[in-house]
Amino acid sequence: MANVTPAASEPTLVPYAAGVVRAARRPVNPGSLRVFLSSPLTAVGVVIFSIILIAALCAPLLAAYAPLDMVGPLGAGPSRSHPFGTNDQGQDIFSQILYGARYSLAVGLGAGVAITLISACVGMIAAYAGRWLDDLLSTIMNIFLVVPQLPLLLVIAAYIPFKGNDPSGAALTMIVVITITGWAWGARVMRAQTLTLRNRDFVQATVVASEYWWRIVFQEIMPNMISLLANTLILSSMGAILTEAALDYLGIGSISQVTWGTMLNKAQANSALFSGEWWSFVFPGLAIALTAMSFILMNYGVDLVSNPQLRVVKERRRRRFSRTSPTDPASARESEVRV
Amino acid sequence: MRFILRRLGFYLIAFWAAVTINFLLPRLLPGNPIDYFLARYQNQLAANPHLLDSLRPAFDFKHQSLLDQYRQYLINLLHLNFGVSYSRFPTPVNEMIGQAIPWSLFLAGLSAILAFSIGTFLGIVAAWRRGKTVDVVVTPLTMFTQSFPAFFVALLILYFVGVVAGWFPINHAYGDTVRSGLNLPFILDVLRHAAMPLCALLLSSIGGWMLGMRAVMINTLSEDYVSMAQAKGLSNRRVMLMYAARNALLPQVTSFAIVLGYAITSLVLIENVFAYPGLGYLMVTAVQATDYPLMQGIFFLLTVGMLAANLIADFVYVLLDPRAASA
Repeated sequence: MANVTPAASEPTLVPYAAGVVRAARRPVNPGSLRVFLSSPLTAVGVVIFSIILIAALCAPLLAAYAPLDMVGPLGAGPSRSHPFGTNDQGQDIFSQILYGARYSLAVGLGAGVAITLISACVGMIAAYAGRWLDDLLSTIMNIFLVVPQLPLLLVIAAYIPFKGNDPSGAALTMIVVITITGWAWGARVMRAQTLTLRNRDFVQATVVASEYWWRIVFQEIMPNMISLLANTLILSSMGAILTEAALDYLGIGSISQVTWGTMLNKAQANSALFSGEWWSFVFPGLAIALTAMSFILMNYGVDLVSNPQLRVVKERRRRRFSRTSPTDPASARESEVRV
Repeated sequence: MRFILRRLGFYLIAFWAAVTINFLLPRLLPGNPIDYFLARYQNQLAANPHLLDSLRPAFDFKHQSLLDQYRQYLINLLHLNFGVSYSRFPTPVNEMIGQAIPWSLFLAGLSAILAFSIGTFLGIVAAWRRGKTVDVVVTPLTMFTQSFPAFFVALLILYFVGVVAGWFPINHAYGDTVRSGLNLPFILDVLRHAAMPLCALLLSSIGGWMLGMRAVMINTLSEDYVSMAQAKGLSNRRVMLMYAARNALLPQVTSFAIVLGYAITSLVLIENVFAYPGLGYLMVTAVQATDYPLMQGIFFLLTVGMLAANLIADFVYVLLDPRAASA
């Protein structure tokens, strides 16, 4: 871990950049997928994410009821016909969760992709251009970082009419607003990473060979940032899902849509929470938490691919190289490579 | 000194930017805030037409030039005059904010101190005894709780501890039965009301401090001066706290400013879960009621608070590590 120190003043400030290594020039090889899935934690993350993705894509097929129809008794607990129970308006919570997955994933992945693209462009341009352009872009990034995000979102949301009935319009507005307030972290990490790559020999070599700047940026620097791009995509998608749910929970986002956040909001506002109807908030809350967790686990998998130090050395090899006695379980555990 | 001046310059620019965003947003987006106000107070205004004349210059900005409005806006800010609330007209915004600040400071301050001390301590122990009980149990647990959204954790606490078990009052900062002031029943009541929000805030923030401290501490433990201290035969506790932890604390100070952003987010959410009368609750109420002056006043205050905290963190960092000033 001591090899992180040279650039520690910049990227290690960022909480989720801790696992980012300054990658050697090594293209993504086919073994990456194997490494990615080799960790049981990551595999669990991929499975959870796939289930939620399928639920979102096939919501109309899987849901037994339309999400806003009154189809059962009011506020009934889980039963065979309503596995997650019904809410105070007799709507089926399981169907609502399925439809909510569509909205959450659309906003999360949409904002995630937008944030990744913007932060990659801004970060790389700032680092590569240097001089006044870097000063200007860095100042803008830092301003966005010191303005509190949720209050800024609240102020923006107050002036924007989210309340429309069109789900794709509401989702798009949400994506734009979250992207505007959330791109700065990624840009700052990308900038730091580009700065360290810029001075590497292989990049300097292409500079000396007087390649075009865009060739250097996209063909030399970009391939070495793939793991960082993946980290940014995963974590900003997760952040967007949580932010969207939070805004909806506060009753400020898209309140006429069926989303996990809105379900929580209604559970509390209609005081289902206070009359013992735990199913009205536990299931949507768990859906949000599980989605967030699947993203964190997948992010861990990306770190495994990009940072070999994180991988736990296989039993056989460890014995061969380990200086400690393999019969002592405590010391054997210590000799695993941990970070 | 140059470092501090540069940071000061940056914070001035950031302050100006935040103030300008606050000014421009209502003017760039469609709709004129005074329309909401007129609709809401139609009856009172019909009875007292002079009221409108006195309010027009403050709210009905679409008829002045943008530059004039900007000048007026800055002058008002300098006098800390945020105007009059729409939703609880004619209460001044300052008065409403003034009532909310103590509750937020109390909740946020107490949880920050507790989360920092507990989290950092757990991080020290987890790194020192890596792979032992504390590390094996607490580290994965914090990773798990970190993926739980703060407001869902708060809802779970509210339901299971507040509603089902009924151990603590489920909303507000103090009950109706106690007389507010510096008396024992009141203080106990306030603490009882703060217990669940505090617990939710702690659960959402301890993990970050712990994981951060653990990561840095593990690096520090491989430094030569730690081996040297152990070679000198110092006690384990002394090496752990005075040699390793003391040096590993430095990045924790820098991350204080970053963590503050998350802290404000979870404070806003958790205050709303428990209807706790702080700034976050007030702000969401203001947004729901389209009370623009109140909302802008709170946003201004939170931004200034965040800038000030960043500035202090910079100062402390330079005090603790003189190398930063020359960088």
